[in-house]
Amino acid sequence: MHLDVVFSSLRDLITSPMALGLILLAMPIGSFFGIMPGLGGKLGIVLLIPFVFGMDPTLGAVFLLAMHSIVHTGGAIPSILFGVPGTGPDAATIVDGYPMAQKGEGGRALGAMLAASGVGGVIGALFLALMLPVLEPVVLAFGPAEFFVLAIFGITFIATLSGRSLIKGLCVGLLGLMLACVGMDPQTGVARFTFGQLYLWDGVDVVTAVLAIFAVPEMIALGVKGGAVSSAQTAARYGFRDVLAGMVDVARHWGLTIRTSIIGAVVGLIPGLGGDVACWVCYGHAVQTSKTPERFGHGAVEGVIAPETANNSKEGGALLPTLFFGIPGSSGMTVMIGALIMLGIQPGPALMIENLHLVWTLIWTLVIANILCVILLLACAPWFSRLTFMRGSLLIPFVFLMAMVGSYLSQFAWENMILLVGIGALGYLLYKWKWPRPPFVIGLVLGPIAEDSLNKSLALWGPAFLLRPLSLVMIVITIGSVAFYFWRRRRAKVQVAYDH
Amino acid sequence: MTISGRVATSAIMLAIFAGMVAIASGYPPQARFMPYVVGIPGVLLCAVQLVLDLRESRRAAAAGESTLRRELFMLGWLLAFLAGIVLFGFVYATPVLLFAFLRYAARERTKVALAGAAGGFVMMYLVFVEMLEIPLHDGLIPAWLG
Repeated sequence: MHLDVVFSSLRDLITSPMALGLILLAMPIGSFFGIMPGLGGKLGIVLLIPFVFGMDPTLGAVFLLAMHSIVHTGGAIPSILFGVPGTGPDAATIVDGYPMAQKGEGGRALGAMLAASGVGGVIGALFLALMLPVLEPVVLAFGPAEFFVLAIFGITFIATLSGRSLIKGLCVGLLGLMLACVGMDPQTGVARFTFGQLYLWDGVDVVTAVLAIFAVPEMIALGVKGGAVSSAQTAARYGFRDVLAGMVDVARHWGLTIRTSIIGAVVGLIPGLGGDVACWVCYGHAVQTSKTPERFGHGAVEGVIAPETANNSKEGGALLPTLFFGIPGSSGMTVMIGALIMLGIQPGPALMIENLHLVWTLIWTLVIANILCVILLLACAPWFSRLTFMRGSLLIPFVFLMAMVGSYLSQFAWENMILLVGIGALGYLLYKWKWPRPPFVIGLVLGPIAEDSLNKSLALWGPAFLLRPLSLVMIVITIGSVAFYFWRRRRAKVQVAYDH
Repeated sequence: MTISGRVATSAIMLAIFAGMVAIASGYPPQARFMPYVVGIPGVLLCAVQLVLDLRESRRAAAAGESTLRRELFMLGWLLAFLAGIVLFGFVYATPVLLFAFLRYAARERTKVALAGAAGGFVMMYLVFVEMLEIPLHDGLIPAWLG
C-alpha cells in the first residue's frame, strides 16, 4: 500500500480550510436532501453541480461526495419520527424505527441510527481502502477486449437488477449506448446523428443527460402528485438522554454493527444492487441472527442498527466500481459519475494509476463526513425534521432552474437545455411506465469506451477477443446474471401462485 | 380508441432505435458498425416489448388518464422555463419565471412568490455572475438587440 499517499492525502484534506469548509457546508445540505422525502442524494448532486462548476476538481469531488455520503443519515430521521422514508433505502429503518417512536422511544431510535450510520460510514470507507491493493492488479489486467465485455456486463447486470423487466432495462441501456454514438466517429471522422448541429459534434453531454433522466422526471412527477413533500401531521420531540441510550445500544450490539457494515459495503460493491438491497439484506441478517426474532417489527433497536450501518457503509463499496470501472455501484453514484466528468475527473482504471491521491482524498472524505454528520445531526435533527413539511411546489421551479444551469454550464451551450427538456420528457415516460433509468446513464458513460474497445479488440484479435480468459469469465457472469434474473422471476411467480 | 401510455412509450423507443438505424445505414461501413451493433438488438427488443405491451393493454382495462392534464401542465411549464431562459437569459428570465410559477402554478401568496423570485435573482446574478464570475447564457433576444 502507498502509505505516503494515504497519509499525505489525509494531511492535505485536514489542513485545507477550503476542503474542511466545503465538507462542513455539505453537512446541512446533505441532511436536508435526506430528510426531505423524495429528494435524496441524486437530486442533491444535480442541484449542486452548477455550484462546483469551475472549482478545483478535488475540492468539487470532496464537496459532492461529502454531501452524498451523509444523505441517508438524514433520511432516517423522517423514517423514525413519522414513518416516512426520506430516501428509498431508509424504508427498512421504518420497520422497527417507527414502532420505537410510537412507543415513546424515538430518541433512542435516533441515537442508535446516528451512531450506526457513523460507524457504518467509517467501516465502508475502510473497506474501500482495504480493497484498493486487491483491486489494483485486477484493474491493470483489463485490456480493450475486457472493457468491451465489461460494458455489456455492466448494462446487462444493472438491467436485471434495476427493474422488473429485463427487456426494458436492456432497451434503456442500449439507448444510452446509441446516444453515445452521437458525434464524430473516432474511426472515420464522420459526424453521426448530429443533424447539422455543430454542438452535437462532441456528443451528447453526459451531465445534461443525467440531469434530464433523473431530475426532470422526478420534478414533473412531484408536480403531478401535488401537495406537501411529507404527509405526516406532527413533529416528534425527544430528549438528549434518550439519544445517548440509543448510541450505547450500538456499542452493546457491536458484533451486529460490524457484520452489517461489512455486508453493506460488499453489497454496495456490486453494481446495480443499490441501497435497498443492502438495507434489507442486513435487516434480514439481524432477524436471522437474533435470539429473539419475534421482537422485530415491534420496535427492536437491532432493526434500526442493521439497515442504518448498511445504508452508509454501502457508499464506500459503491465508490469502487464507480471510480475504477465507470460503472456506478449505486443509483446516486450514477449521477456522481456525471458530476465527476464535469469536474474533469474521468472514472476508469487510469484513475488508480494516475491519481491515487484523489482516490485517498475521497476515502478520507467519507470518513470525516460521516463523523461530522453524526455530531451535527445530534444537535440539529429536530429542526431539520420540520423541513419535511415544505411544499413540493416550492421546490419544483428551483430544481428546473438548477437543472438548466447545470446543463448549460457543462458545455456553455444553450442548445443543451433543449436536449435537457427532450430527454427529460422521454425520462418522464420511462419513469411513469417503469422503465429503469440507471442503465441509460451507464450506456451513455460506457458507450465511447465500449466502441473504442470493440474497434481495438477486433483489430488486434478479431472476433476471437471474446474467447480471452477474462472476457470469458465476464461473459459467463453476464449469462449467470440473466439466468439468475429468470430464476428469481420464476420463484416469485411460484410464490404468488402458492399464496393464492 | 386511445393508445395507452405504456404502448406509446414502447412505440417511441422503437421509433428512436429504428430511426437511428435507418440514419446510420447512410454512413460508411466503419462509422455505422457500432450503431448497428447497438441499434439492431435495440429494435428487436423494443419490438418484443411493444408486442408484450399491446397484449397487456388488451387484457387489462384502460388505465385512467386523469393525470394527463396535470402532466401536460407541468411539461408546459418546463417548456416555458426553456423558452424564457433561451430567449431572455438566466438573469432576466429567472425572477419572472419563478414568480409566475410560484404565483400562478403553485398558487402561493404574492409575498412568497416575490421572495422566491428575489432569491432566484440573487442566486443567478450575485452568486453566479458576481461572486463565482461564471458567464451565464445572456439570452438570444438581448444578444440580438445588442
